[in-house]
Amino acid sequence: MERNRAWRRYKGEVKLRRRLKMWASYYTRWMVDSNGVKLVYPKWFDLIGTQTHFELKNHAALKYHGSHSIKYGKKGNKRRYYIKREPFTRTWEKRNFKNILEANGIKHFNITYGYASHHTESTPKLGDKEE
Amino acid sequence: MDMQAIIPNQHPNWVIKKNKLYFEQLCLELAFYENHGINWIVLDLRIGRPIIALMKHFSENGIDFLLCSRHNILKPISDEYHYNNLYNYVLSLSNSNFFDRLIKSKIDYIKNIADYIYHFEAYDPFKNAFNDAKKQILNKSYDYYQNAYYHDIKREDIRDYVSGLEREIKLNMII
Repeated sequence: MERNRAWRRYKGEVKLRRRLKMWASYYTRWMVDSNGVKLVYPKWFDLIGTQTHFELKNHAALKYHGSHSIKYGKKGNKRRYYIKREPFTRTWEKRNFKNILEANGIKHFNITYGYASHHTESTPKLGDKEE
Repeated sequence: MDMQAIIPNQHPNWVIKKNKLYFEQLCLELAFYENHGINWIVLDLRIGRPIIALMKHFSENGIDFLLCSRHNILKPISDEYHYNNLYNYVLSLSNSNFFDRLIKSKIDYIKNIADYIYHFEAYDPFKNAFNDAKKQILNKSYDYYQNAYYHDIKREDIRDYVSGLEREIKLNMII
């Protein structure tokens, strides 16, 4: 299957539908739908067009979603408890990856948020003085 | 009725099932159906834009239609049924996106309400529904410390449109 724009939109809709179902079953007891009608026990499709629908459209993993959860890859789908067995964070994984590369004597990319510059002889390192 | 002729634009999300027209947006949402010889368009603001396109297409081709509430589909006709439909007619004007699109598309909304009342002879349910919806739209609260009033619906043109709606419907019915 080709992973194009349509596929990404479909996946986003699947995620959104799941979130709406969770909201409708647990948190909402009565609410006003998009037409202004008061509903006591709304179904998930009653939430479409309301403020919660647009709030749940956000795909980004925020800080309060759990700093110890993995936010990408296969393991990211699983739910984990708040126990500090391993610090499953992006920064920890980056640092760990860097250490492994250095232990095996492999040159690595300079991990920054801006650009990924390579350490070679032609390009000077940060802090080196030009003569 | 030929369902293929009704579809207003070439949007891929229009779906025909069992002689009913749906629009797909996260789930199938009913847009049009026919019952007892009346063309019902469901006034569902979850799919406000396609519904207005459908209404415009109908009015351009000279097909009569009436609007129905989402919670009132295929229910037995009674006073409560008319109350819910007419309440939905008026209250959906409070949605600013819907209001702007309605005026831009030049659909005769007031005539449609008058047709509804004339067809079912439902003036009493309309009076109750209009008063309740009007109360909700024109509601304002007073702030003592700032000595100022705050309206629930901030736009003044919508409030003016709703407050003068009953008079214009009466005039339309006389004509």
